[in-house]
Amino acid sequence: MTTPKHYPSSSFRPLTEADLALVWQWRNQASIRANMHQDTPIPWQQHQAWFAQRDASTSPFFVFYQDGRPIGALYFKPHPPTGLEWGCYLGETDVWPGSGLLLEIAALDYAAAQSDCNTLHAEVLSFNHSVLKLHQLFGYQETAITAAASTRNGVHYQIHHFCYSTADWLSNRAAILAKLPKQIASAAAFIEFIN
Amino acid sequence: MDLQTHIPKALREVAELANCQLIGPLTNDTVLLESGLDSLGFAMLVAQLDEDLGMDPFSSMQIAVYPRTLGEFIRIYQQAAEQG
Repeated sequence: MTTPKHYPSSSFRPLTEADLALVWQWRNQASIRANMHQDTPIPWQQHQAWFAQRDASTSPFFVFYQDGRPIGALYFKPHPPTGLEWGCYLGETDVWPGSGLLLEIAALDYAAAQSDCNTLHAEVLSFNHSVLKLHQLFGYQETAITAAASTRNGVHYQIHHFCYSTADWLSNRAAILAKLPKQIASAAAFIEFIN
Repeated sequence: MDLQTHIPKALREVAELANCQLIGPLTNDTVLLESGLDSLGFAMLVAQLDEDLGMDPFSSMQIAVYPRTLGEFIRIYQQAAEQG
């Protein structure tokens, strides 16, 4: 008898005040800070001020719930004139294998669903090899490589700038998912954004 | 099949295929997300083990408890094998 397949639900819910402490702990983990533009720990008061001042309508921030459990973050900000720029991280380490790929898919799906978004943009630090590889695999266009203003651990690094036309993503989506391990496409069917 | 031997071997092979640089030796205490294998690599590993062993416990779990370490990852496969 074949065991019925079960894939995790991936629900993205807008950040609330109740999530703030958890997200702050995630964001300040050394492994997450290492791949951020700002790699110093964020003080709690600064985190609270960011939440109070942000415009959720133009810069949506979602908590990634896997089977109802919060495991990470996915966020966007405007990229004028008609784009969004995104970032993400997994705050928990005991997650469904391939969860990072689901974040990559969710970001593109979200952008493509916004009527006023024509392109999705991303910036990746040059030493973040896994994300550079993922963006290339998904078909992002690399638009520029610029030198970072600072050094990291005493070493100069670059910032890779990527963009993806949302129309192209809608055309490419099925073919890209078909290139990934098959359980990823199956799990992608359970991605949803809850507003 | 000895899963304690087979899974780390498969992980190393997938890491090479996925062009991932493993960080340090693999032990049961190795935290998966800090091993050097990335998200694509883990998805490839699960798919490879599905081919090798005929099972994907992560797509069969009714209670979703996911592994943090390599030892926990291997244990999930051992439990799935025992349950046949």
